[in-house]
Amino acid sequence: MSTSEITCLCCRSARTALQPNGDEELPEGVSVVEMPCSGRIDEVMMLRALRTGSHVVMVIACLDGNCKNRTGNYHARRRVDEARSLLSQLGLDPRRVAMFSLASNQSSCWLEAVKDMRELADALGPIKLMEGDR
Amino acid sequence: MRSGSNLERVLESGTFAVTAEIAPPKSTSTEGLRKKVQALKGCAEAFNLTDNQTAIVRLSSMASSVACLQEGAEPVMQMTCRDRNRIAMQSDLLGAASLGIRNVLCLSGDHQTFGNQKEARNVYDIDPVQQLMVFRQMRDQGQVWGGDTIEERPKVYLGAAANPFADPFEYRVARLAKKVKAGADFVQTQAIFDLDRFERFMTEVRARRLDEQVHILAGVVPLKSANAARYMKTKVSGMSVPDEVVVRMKSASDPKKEGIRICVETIDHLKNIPGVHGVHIMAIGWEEMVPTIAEQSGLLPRPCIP
Amino acid sequence: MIIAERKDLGLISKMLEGRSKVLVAGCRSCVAICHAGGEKEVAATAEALRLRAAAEGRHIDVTEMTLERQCEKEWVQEMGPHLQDREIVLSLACGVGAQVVQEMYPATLVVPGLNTSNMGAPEEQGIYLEKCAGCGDCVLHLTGGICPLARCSKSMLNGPCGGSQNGKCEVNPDTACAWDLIFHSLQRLGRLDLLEENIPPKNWLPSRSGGPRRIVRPPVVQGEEEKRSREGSP
Repeated sequence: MSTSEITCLCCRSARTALQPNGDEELPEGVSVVEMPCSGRIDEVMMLRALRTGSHVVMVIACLDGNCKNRTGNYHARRRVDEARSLLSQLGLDPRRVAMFSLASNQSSCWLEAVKDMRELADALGPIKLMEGDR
Repeated sequence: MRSGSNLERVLESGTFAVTAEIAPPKSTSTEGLRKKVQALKGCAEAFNLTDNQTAIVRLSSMASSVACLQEGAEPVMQMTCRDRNRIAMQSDLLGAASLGIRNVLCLSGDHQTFGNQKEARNVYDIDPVQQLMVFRQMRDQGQVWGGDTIEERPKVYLGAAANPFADPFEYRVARLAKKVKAGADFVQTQAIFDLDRFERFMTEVRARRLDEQVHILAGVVPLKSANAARYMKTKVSGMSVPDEVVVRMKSASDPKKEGIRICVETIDHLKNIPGVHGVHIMAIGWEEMVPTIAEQSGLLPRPCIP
Repeated sequence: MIIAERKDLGLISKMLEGRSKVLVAGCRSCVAICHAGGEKEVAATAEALRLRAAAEGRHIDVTEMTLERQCEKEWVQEMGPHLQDREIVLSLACGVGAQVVQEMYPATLVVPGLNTSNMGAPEEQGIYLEKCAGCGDCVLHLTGGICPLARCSKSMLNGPCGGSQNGKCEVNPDTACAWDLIFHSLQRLGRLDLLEENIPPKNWLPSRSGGPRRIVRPPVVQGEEEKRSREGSP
């Protein structure tokens, strides 16, 4: 069971943005699940990450039009939307899952995104019902 | 005479006829309705009492028609396919005839999602063409659908609607022909603003000699404001309102007067189109203007044909 | 095929209230094609239920299985061993499948996870359109291959109402006017003559108006003796 607060489900190509030299330490509380392509990430993984202790889930994909497999990041985007819809239906805050598009040299963007999501994670805390719209 | 109704007598005599629409109240009281009938009486051969128009619940067309009769004016009872199956329709036709109603207009009805009962289930057991077939059989063969004999036949003049402005345009006249074949004695059209398109429609109607088989009453609506014109142009399906009409309404110093003027001009034009046998005035929520419109169009006094 | 969509998860949770051993059962036929009740949707629904339980601090044990077809007893038999310790089945099949499962396992409560909508076809990925009303008396030969009963908002049989404009239905601008489609189809086929004929009131007996429909195909109905010999007893 993960004890980290932020789970990044991350495309292998975009991952360079997280650790440009390959050995940097990740920000505290961030764990990364590397996938061959963001197109392989589905709503089951996002929900499971939340259930097993993550406060928020970041789905990290390549920039639009930049997917090695052509459309993997578009798939990921639709599944993020679906996961958010499921969260709303469950009475959970849909903002707990978010999508980020990164090129491999956009380390600063990634750090910025982590900062924002950490703020959100701190504000929301562990999952609880009725925090969403219903 | 199929029904002996006043409307039938006037149309069969070859006189240019007038009908007008009156909306039943959202009430059990018919007082307002009776006042309207009193005010409009003598301006038209018969008055259409709508059947929960735009799918908004109102006093039934049959009860309203009876109130109209009691005030000494002739009703055209509208009946939609939306709310009744063939059992209710045939029963209501017998009921209407037994109460002295002599004109019935067959309609599909505005879809329930437009009204205040959006979650209702519609019926559409039969469509308006089939409704005409059933009613004509009841009147002319004295049989309900399926063949059982009716002791006393319902003597009713059967009406239908036609919309020359809906699509596919190429099929609109053929659709009218189907209604004529099914038993329509008279037809009331959608409101006409686009006279060019209506002329084209009538040319085709005459080419098929439909004007010799059915009486066509051209629909008109007096506009109250430029907004009303724009609304009809953009929001009402199956309506054609030329830009020129919208501009005239917008630039008028007195839009209400202009609306009446456009309506009267339209009627003047319609009177000269061969095959048009009358007008149907739909002054929605503005019924008190019907006498003015009829007067200014030179349609008064209405003839008395025994 | 049958088109369905998943019920709101809040409603599903209500139906499952008080039960901690749940089987989410999918179907690989129609509802998998319309992405409502196939293997993937079963996994996502199961995971969502686990997440909700976790959020409530409640224990839940959700198992998953997806059958080839939930509407046929032969396939539903496979479910037996998976039901041993289950308190409730959430069926992600159409209403037919959910009923067959309940019939086969009367001791276990089966609740519907989907709203079954219609008989239709995919228009494009993720968009499904109703095509058939199952009226029991097909008229496609008269209407250019387009069903007015299913596809006209008023189920008109003798042409379009006055609300048809620019090929669209007045009820919904995303809906094509069935009669506009029929007209143009028959025009292309050179059969506009079909539109001149009045179609009389429809016989609704083969439809729902005859009560629940039971279709018998005599050549494939087994006799009692044949059934017995199939089961191996004399």
